[in-house]
Amino acid sequence: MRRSLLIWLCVCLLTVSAFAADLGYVYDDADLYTDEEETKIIAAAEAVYSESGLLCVIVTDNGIGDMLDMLPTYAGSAVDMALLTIDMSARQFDLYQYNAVKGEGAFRISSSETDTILDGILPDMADGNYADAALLFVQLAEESFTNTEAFDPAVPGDGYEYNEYYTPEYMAPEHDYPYVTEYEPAFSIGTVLFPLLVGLFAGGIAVLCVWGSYKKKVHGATYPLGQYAKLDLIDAKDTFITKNVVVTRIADDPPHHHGGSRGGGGFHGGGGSRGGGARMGGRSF
Amino acid sequence: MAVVAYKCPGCGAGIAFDSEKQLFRCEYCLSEYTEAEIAAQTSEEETAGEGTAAADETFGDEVLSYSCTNCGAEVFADKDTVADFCYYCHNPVVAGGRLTGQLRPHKIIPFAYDKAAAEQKFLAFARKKWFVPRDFFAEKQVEKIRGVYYPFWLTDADITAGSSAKAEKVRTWRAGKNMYTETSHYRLYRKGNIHFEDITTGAYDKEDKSMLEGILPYPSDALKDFSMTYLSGFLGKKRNVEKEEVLDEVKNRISNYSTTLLRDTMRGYTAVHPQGTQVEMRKVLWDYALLPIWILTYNKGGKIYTYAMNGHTGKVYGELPISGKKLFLLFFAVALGVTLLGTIGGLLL
Repeated sequence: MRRSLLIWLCVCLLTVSAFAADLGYVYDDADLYTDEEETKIIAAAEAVYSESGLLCVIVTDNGIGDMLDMLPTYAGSAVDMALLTIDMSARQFDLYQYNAVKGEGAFRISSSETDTILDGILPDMADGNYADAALLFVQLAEESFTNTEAFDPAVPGDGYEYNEYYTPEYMAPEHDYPYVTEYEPAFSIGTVLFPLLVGLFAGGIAVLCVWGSYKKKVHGATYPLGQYAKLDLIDAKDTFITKNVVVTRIADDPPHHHGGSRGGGGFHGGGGSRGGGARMGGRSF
Repeated sequence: MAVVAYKCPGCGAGIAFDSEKQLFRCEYCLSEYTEAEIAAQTSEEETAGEGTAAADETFGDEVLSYSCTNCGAEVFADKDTVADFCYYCHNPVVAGGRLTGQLRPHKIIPFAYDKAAAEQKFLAFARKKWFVPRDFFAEKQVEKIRGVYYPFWLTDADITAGSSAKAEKVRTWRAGKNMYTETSHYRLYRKGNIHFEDITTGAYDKEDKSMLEGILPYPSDALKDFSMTYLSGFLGKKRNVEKEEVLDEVKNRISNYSTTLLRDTMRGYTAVHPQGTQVEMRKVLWDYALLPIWILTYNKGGKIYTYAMNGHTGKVYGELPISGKKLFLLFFAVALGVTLLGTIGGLLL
């Protein structure tokens, strides 16, 4: 936490001279890369930035919170950024995309491309080849970014949420999204009957709990072991026997419904011309 | 059999133990004496052949009849009673002869508070319970309250125990559209030397065992070497259950406690399934002790409620009456609250 705050402070100070300073590519607080590996990753990321304009950033740490508010800081003067976070304490990695909006919100890496990137680097991450995973991330991010066929303006990944702070240049998508619904209260017998039955049940449970506790004659432990017994452990063996893995296919999520004025993680205003970031989805390894 | 009536060295009136001051106090001349002073005085009188009265007769070892040393009245007590009061002059007497030899307790915990404090403690306990009928708290409801020393076996044990178990660690993660659940299986074994202090078991079978043991534990540091003087002013019972009769129960408890202690060291697993515990008793020490209990009898609507209260810690054993009116109010409030919340929530969603 202290380290995160320190990074945040440093990054804020750097932002003051963001346009003059060099862009940051690797923030390796979890010490996953050797100096040589880090140099290699930075070189690859620099090449991608100079060729396509996509800033690839990798942040590693032992505990990473919500990055959405920090994306503009990491992006600095870059317009488009793909940021990979690796949280070693939770053993999770995640992909964020950022676009400094100038004219329209444009997320150039689609939802399916995000899955491709994350699934692509998963084996290396699981095997502990973090440098290879980082290089692959840079490569796949560039491929997705330059693939204009999958370009999906203003729709970050699987969801879209309206941001009240961002209005001037927002362009609504042409097709309808079922996210905004009108509120029409509907009253019926069922609306009351079901809660009534649940209420009666809850009342009965409460009465039973009180009755049970008052009928109980003995209160508390009659021989508190922690107080009266002392254990001196002389042997402890934990023997591994076997392991099995079950794979379950996850069903697709139903479409999300959101209220008309609810803000969310899709867009975060960062001043008049600053754009938005999106959390694209994470993986455990 | 010697019947002792502890008397005030100052005025000769009957003297009883004052639990609050932990001293012996004469109700007539208000003098106060330590346990050592009273014991020394009694010992001198016994040597001189005064102050004690032999039991007149026994009736088949079931009932003891003796003459009160204060008023001379004939008093009867059952064979397990070791301390009582004269029914006529209410002078406290101790049947010392019943607590000699093998039957002499090793330890005793004196009462830590008196009858009035016991009643107040009980009322404070009951008042915290919102569903107890309000009129139950009235002091006039107290039918009877008496302080009794009950016999218990205290067991100290040094054992070696080994416990085996099966355990699982479960890890889940997602990759693409797949959810992976990995279950690792382990066999665990723990062995340890365990010292148990003062495992307490009732040694009197004429009283409800669950009541006697429901007010445990007593703090070990409150135990004192036994002296008959502490019994003065209270009722007392001698043991009628021998340690051989409770040995299996104690062993069973030790085995269960050992399983729990060793199980607590099997950490870091999603689930642990104990397979068995072997216990080897290395050293077992027994103490016979008299422990203080206040017995309270309440009369509520013709029904008698009996409570036991630990004479040292104030822990209460017993079933509390419930107010039907309050219980209905609870049912109504919960049902109404849940129904309203559910209805409003249903309309908003």
